[in-house]
Amino acid sequence: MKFIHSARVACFHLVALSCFGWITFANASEAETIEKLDELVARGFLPHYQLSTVDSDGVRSYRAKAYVDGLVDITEPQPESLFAMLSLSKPFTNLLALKMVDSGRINLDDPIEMYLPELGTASEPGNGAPNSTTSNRKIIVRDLLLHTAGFAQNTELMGLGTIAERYQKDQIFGLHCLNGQEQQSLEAIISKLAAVPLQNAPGATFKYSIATDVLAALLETAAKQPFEKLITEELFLPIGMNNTGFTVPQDKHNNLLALYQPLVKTYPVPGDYQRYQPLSVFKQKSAKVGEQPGCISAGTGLVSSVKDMQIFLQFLLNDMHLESGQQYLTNDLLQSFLSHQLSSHLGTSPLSRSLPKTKGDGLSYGLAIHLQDGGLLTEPDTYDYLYWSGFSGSGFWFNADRTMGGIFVSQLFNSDQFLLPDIAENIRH
Amino acid sequence: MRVKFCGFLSILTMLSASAMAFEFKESTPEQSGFDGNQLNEIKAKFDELYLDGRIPNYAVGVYTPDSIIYSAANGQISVEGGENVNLDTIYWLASMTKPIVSTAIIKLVEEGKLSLDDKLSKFFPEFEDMLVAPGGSYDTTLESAKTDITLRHLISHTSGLTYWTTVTGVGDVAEQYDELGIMQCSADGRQSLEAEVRFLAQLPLIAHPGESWNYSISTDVLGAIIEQVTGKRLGVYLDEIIFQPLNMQNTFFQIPTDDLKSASEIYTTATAPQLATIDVESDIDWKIIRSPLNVRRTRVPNCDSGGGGLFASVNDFAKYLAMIANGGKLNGVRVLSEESMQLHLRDQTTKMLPEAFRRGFGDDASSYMKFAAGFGRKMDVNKDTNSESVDYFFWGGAANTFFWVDVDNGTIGVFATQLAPSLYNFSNTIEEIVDQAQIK
Repeated sequence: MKFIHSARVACFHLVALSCFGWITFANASEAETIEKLDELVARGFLPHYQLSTVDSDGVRSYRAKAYVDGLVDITEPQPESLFAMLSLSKPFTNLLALKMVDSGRINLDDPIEMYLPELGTASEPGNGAPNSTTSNRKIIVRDLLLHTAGFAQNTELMGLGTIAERYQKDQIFGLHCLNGQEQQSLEAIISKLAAVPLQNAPGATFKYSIATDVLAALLETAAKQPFEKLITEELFLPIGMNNTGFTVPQDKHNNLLALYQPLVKTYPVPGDYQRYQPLSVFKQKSAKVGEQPGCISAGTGLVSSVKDMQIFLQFLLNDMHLESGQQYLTNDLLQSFLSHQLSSHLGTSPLSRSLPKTKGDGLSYGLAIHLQDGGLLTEPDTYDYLYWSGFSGSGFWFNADRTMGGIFVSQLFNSDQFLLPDIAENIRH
Repeated sequence: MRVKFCGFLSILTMLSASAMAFEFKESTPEQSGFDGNQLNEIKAKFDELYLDGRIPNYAVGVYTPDSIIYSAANGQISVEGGENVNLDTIYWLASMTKPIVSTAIIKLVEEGKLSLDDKLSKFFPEFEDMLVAPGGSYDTTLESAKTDITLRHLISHTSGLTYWTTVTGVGDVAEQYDELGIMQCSADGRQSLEAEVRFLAQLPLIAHPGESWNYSISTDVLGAIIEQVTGKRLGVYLDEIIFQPLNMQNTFFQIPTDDLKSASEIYTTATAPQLATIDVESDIDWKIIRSPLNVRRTRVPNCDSGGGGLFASVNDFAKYLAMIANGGKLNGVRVLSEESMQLHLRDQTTKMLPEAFRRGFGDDASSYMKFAAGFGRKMDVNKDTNSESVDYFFWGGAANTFFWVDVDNGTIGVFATQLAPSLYNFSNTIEEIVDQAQIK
């Protein structure tokens, strides 16, 4: 009787107490962390993952693991495989904005209505709409980089509340941007956004939001160039990220990894099983991010590869020096991408109301900042590491002293697993 | 002991039994032949989950048919406070209702009022000439069912019926179950079990009866048959033949208002933004939020769901299992004859390949699972003789309750917390701990 057909089921049949319950990552060594990630895959919690570390000289490690022999086929990823970055898109858009500040095309203190006049009314008090809010100041470019503009997040991307629901209803950014039959220009979406009240007064609070998507519309107007072309020519190609973008060419569609979502079912039996399924929100069930973007969502729509992310991390570890020897940003702006920028009136745990897992972390113009024990956001010497992560569980991090960095890629959308902080904590060399 | 109204007959039953109303004897693990230190591993494991904020509370008991040999509990009925939970705390059993309803069917078979070979159409003629949408898909041509659905099919989940997509439903048919609110007893004109079952006959099956294993609302249909045959509401009948005879005072389809303070609230695992909405002062970093399913705690159900409607305490459910482990009787009260018990626990899925369970419950399940009338059968495979034997019987519920009962050595384990959907079904691990703790 061929019942026990693979090592995977050993967890059930042997008395393996480590198989009991949740796989916790706290205080694990690098080797143990990898073991636990492998276990997440083997036990059906994660479809696959890729993990790579780099230092300023090059790639130090690369590992990929995929679930095999399951009901849902999982392709083992490669360094060149293209993955949906989702929120990992955000730091790139911000970096491009800083580049445009550097070259004098925009100013961080410019009111956004200079570029997007329709949004000039968004901050005006008393427009009578539900949850409308009053403010003494206009939204400025800086607010878009720091999520302090007062916008909300689309419910499709985990936003909550009436404004988030309105974005979803009006298709104001959200999953249809990642894959949709209907095309929407940034201009058209901004027009719709202008009719929706803000969730918070500009500058009042950090609220993870569509601000980055709005930023792209602003940059597009300021540069008088389509955003997709702009970010490709002014950021990805100079850095050498040749396989990063919003639209994946037809001949590379085979390289695209699928997105999964948790399988929320009721199992009255013990044991492990694949706890995910292909992401079902896209109308065409086999559709992948990047095949046919419905609009340019600079906050969620980029597709990249681990190989490109290794290049990006080395670029960061080398103080943004390009191959030519030139520095991508001048020093002050470079430092603003690496140091806390939120106003001190937002408190010592400014992100946690919107992103509860961040606890006391800070925010630069693109990255979250994790402090050493007892560290202060006002003292960059006390930073431990900088990072960003996305809805698919992917994320990257690098030591504040730039000795090493890493990229972790998974494609499980809206998971309740928040792996990145633990991985970043455990893999530091 | 709380007494509630349950009809003249059952009061008589209760009076006759109340002189010796069953309660488990308190016993140390050592008195029962177990190593207490090893059993403490159980508390350590569940404390880890609780203190990490992944479950709202928990209560777990390990029993023999006459004694409680180990228990552990932690937390309150709500993450905001309230009574500490214990073995008498009331939990929503969900699918752990199914074995009990299956026992009632076997009882009616024993009394000659039903046969497992009876056709469903004998009770509900609407089920003659059913159509089948293979795999639940409406993209294929509908076929005429090759055979009629029997009670045996219903009790072993081989009827071809399916479930809502949120449980284990398959294909377009399951989506239609969702849309139509099948078996919720809430739609206009469908506020009784009988009406729900008659309506269900309009939907195609997802497989030919008897050909494959599909976890389903079949047990709800069995509840409707019980109501028709006995002329009593399901809850009333179960009270008479099981709950009162076994002194299960905390088991019901509707929680009495006075008992709400002792009934755990139901939670669900939070996504990242939902975590931001949790506002509870606690040393625990909660990863859960209150579930919309909490309405079940206070609503008056239009019908008694045989597939998932019961609430009970850990101690009460253990009394039911003690009767099962004890060959159908407990404390002098016989619920089922020995012959009926054999029928109850016999494999009803002999023809099913592991693949049948793999599709519904995953790879692990397919490696160990068979199914009796209302119970999963955990199989042990002897590689030397290439034979298999039953290790224990088990099942679990949607809000993360689970049990096992080993009819050979008489050990019983019941675990409850209230997290839906269930994420932590560890009956296998706990049973192994108890097995290893047994002093040989």
